[in-house]
Order: sequence, then C-alpha cells, then structure tokens
Amino acid sequence: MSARLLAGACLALAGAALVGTGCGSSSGGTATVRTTGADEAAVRDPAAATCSGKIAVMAPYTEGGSTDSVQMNWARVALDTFNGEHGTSFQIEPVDVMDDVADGIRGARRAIADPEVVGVVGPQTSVVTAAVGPLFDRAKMAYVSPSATRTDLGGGSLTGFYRVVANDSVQGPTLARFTADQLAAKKVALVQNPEPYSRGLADAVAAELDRRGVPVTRLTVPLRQADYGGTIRRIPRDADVVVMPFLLSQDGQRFARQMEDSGRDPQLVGGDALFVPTEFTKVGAYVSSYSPDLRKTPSGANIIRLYEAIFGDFSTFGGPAYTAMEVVATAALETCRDGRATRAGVWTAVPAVEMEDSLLGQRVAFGDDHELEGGRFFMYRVEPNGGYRAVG
Amino acid sequence: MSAAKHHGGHHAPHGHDEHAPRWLNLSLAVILGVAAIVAGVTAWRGTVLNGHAVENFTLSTQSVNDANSLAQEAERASTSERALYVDYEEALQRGESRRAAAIYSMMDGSTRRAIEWWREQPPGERPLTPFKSANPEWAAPATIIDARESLERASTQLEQANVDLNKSHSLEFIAALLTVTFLLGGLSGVFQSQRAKATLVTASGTALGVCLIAMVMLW
Repeated sequence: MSARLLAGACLALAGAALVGTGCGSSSGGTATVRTTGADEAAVRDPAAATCSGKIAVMAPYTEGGSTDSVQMNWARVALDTFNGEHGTSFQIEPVDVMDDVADGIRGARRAIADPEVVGVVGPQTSVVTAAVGPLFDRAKMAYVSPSATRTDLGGGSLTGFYRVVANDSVQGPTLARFTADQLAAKKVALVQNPEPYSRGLADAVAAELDRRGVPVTRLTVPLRQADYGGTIRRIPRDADVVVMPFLLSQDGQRFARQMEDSGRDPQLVGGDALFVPTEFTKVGAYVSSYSPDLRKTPSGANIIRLYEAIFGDFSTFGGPAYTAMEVVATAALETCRDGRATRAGVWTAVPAVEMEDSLLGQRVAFGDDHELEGGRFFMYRVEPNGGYRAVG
Repeated sequence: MSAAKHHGGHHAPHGHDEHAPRWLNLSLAVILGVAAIVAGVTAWRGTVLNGHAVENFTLSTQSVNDANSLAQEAERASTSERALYVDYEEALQRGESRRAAAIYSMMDGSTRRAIEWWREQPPGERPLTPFKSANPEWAAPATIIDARESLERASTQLEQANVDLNKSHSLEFIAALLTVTFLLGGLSGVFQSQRAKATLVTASGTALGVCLIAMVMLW
C-alpha cells in the first residue's frame, strides 16, 4: 500500500469527521413534523399561520343534562389546542341542536347565512343529519359528524357529509359477533323499537347471528313504553342473551330493571344509544360505542388530563368530536388564503385530510364513500361503580 | 519502495527485524493521527452535547415555571371571573345598578367579552352560564391549554437533556478508550520484533476503529 493512499485515507477520515461535525450541529434542536397537509401548508405559507374563520359545532349545550355539552366541550378543547399549536385564530360557532329536526334546520340556516362559517362539526344525530344535509350540500358546506352512525347517510348521497366514526353496518355485526363469540349465546331474543335506527341495527344483528347459526326471536316494543311485562313474558325461557338496540337509554334502563324484577337474568346487550353512563346503569350489561376507550389510546391520556383540567368530568363518548374538529380545522388551514379560511376550501380539502394518529387511536382518512377508513365499534361492560369498562 | 527491499532483504534470525517496514510506520502514523483527530472531535462533541443538556435542563425548568404560573393564573382567573359574575348577576337582579357597574368594571376584558356574548344570545340558545365551551369569548380553556403545552414542552426538553447528557458521558468514555489506541501505538515502538510491532499496530487500529464506530453511533 502506498504512502499516498494511506495519507489519502487519513485525510478522508478527518474530512468525514469534520463533515459529521457540521451535520451534527443541526441536531441540537429536534423537531417533529407531522405529515398532515396542514403542517406543510403552515410551513409553506406564513400567512396561513394567522388564519381565521368560524367553525360551527352542531351539538347541544343549553340543557344541562347528562351528556349535554360533552361534544361541544371536546370540540372546543380540540379547536383551542389546534389554535395553540398552529398559531391560528379559528373560532367556535355554537349551534344548539340535538335530535330536534326543526332546531337542526334553523341552526343550519343560521350557520349557512354567516359567511364566516367555513365548516361544521356535527350534527350529533342521524335524524338531524338527514334533515340538514341537503341544506349544507347546497351551500357547499362540509360537515363532519362525530356520532351520526346511520348507514344510509354515507356512500356520498350527502355530498358534504363525512364522519369520524364507523356506521351501523359495522355496529350490527360487531354486536352479533360479540354475542355469539364472547357471550357464547345459544339462543337470542332481539327486542327492537319501531323506528329506523333500532330496526336497521336489529336487522344487521339478526342477519349476522343467522349466518352464525344462532337462533333469534324478534320482538318489537314502542318507544317510551312504561311496562315491558308482556314483552318479557314472550321472551323464550331458554334465551340466554337479549339484544336490545333501543333508541333511548331510559327505555333500556327500564327494560333491564323490569327484566331483573321478573326474575329473569339473561345477558343484556345494547347498542350505542344506550352508552349513557348516567342513565343506563344495569351492572353486567354490555353496550357498544363508536368511540374507543380514550384512556387506552396513545394520545388519549394527555388530552383527557387537559379536558379534566378545563371541565372537571370526563366522558369518552365525546372523543370523536375532538377528531371531527381536527379534521375541519386542518382542512381550513390547508386551504387558507390571505389569512382567511374559506367555505369552498374546506369543502375541497376535507376529503383529503389524513391524520396518521388521532385521539381515537387510529389513522383518520376518508374513503370515496365518505366513511372513516378502518372504522369500528367497541364493546363495553357496565361496572358496579357505574363506569363502563372496554371489553372488546 | 519497501523498507525491506531498501535494506537488501537483511533479516534478523527467528523472524526478528530491527527495521520495521515502512508501511507499518506509516500505518502507525495514520492511526495515531486519526486517533488524535477523533479524540479532539469527541471531546468537542461531548462538550457541545453537555452544553445542550445544560441548556435543555434550564429551558425545562423555565417551562415548568411558566406552566405553573399559567396554571395558577388560569385557576385564579377562573375563580375570580365566576365570583365576580355571581355578584354581578345578583346586583342586577336586585336592581343595584351602581354596584353592578362597579363589579363589571373589576372584571378583566375577556370576562366582560364572555358575559357580553352570553347576553347577546337568544334565551333559548343561551348556555347556563357565560363560562361554557360554547362561548367563543370564554378564554379560560386556551389559558389552561397553554399551561399544559408548556408542561409538555418541559417534559420534552427534560427528555432531550437526559439524552444529550447520556451521549456526552458516552463520548467521554470513548475519549478514555482512545488512550488505549495511543498506548498500543506507542508501545509498538518499544519492540524490535516486526510481528510484535504489527500486532500492536493492528490492535491500536482496531481500538481506533471501535472508537470511530461508537462515535458515529453516538453523534
């Protein structure tokens, strides 16, 4: 080996060390860049950092009931956090609507009439979504629901509608699989209400149970029935599981109590409408939810602490409102021009929003059918302390 | 031209060679030279990382202080605005307009804006109090979020400081290991045997290689 070669190698090593020194000096400050378009936009366009606009939230906040304000609270935490992280000044525009269609239409018209409103988080319920959807569609206002699960709302029939939760076509099979596999049901009684939510869910549950060879007896009870005695007597004695996709949690609680009073003790399984910890308290019963247990998601614990610091109590049911607000705010920032978010921009950007991680513990992106990709339902058990424990 | 050839192939008995080949001396020179550079760079990098660690420890402490101040401020503001609002409403309901005006004047700007927004809402769409999430003028959530972010920033800075400090300590260990390179290289000059020299130079080079790899990994 020649001396020149060795000297060259030495110089190369020294050079590499110096180059390494130069490269390394930039690693002193670590920066994590999320891959959402919003962050890229914020970096690309300094004007976007001061973006403003209103985002309407269609959710109840005036009643003071058990679940009142929960979604509004979560949406607010999401928006203030988003503003803090991105330097934006988006503002919440509350629209007080739960399941009253007339309220929904009035609220939607008000939001549409306000030119500063660029997008909507909500509506909360499927029935209101079906009513106000065409109004929003005509106004080219994108609306992202945190809880409307009726299957026929999706598929693009409502052009501006998106949701960050799975729909009932996922919920039905989830309930049926849980009943057949986890509860090992031999015979199932399916008690439903005569209205679209309950009927649709019951159909999906029955179809999946039938496919699995579990015999099903179907019964129908009206909404707000005071006495379920006759219905309970018609439930076969050998039915070891009763699936009750009731619309109202109070009905579920009354049915469960009367079932217990009658000396019958089959396993009870309810849909997401019974996921109301303050109202449905039958210990040992199971209910589904479109929201995972936020305490168990990677970012959930931190945000729950933040939520509790502001509002005191915590309900996992509102979590998707946080994600829905993130979607709308991201779309607004992505398309911000001259410091203003636009309705047209949000309309265009919402379908393309992607979040690799979310409070829901999953990637958030929408398919061509406007549904959350990979959306699923989760099962909870009612515990003696009144809480709901995730079981699947 | 090699050293052995220059001396006409004069070999000592039993494989001993009083004059090491030139490539061996050059190798030793390169190894010691590079070792010196690596020692310098390692010491510099260790010092830089140590500095970063100290800086991040300081920033972390500052962020914790900021978070505590913000949290206390948020708590104080929240308690104060609620108390003032209750007094204000009570004064209004009793028709004590002067007292109500006095209480109103004691509220800070954000509380006044929150109350004004609340008053402007139609009765059917008015939250139970002005201090609800639906009120866009209610500023307490943003203050609490700022405090929480400051605390998270402190945690990140503390984590980074620990990482930097650990790296700095590891680099100091590498600097200590480099002395082995120098020791072995220096010892090679003591031996007459060419094989012994080659062995020591190889060992010195190996030690240097290990140190180089470790330094790159810890950069």
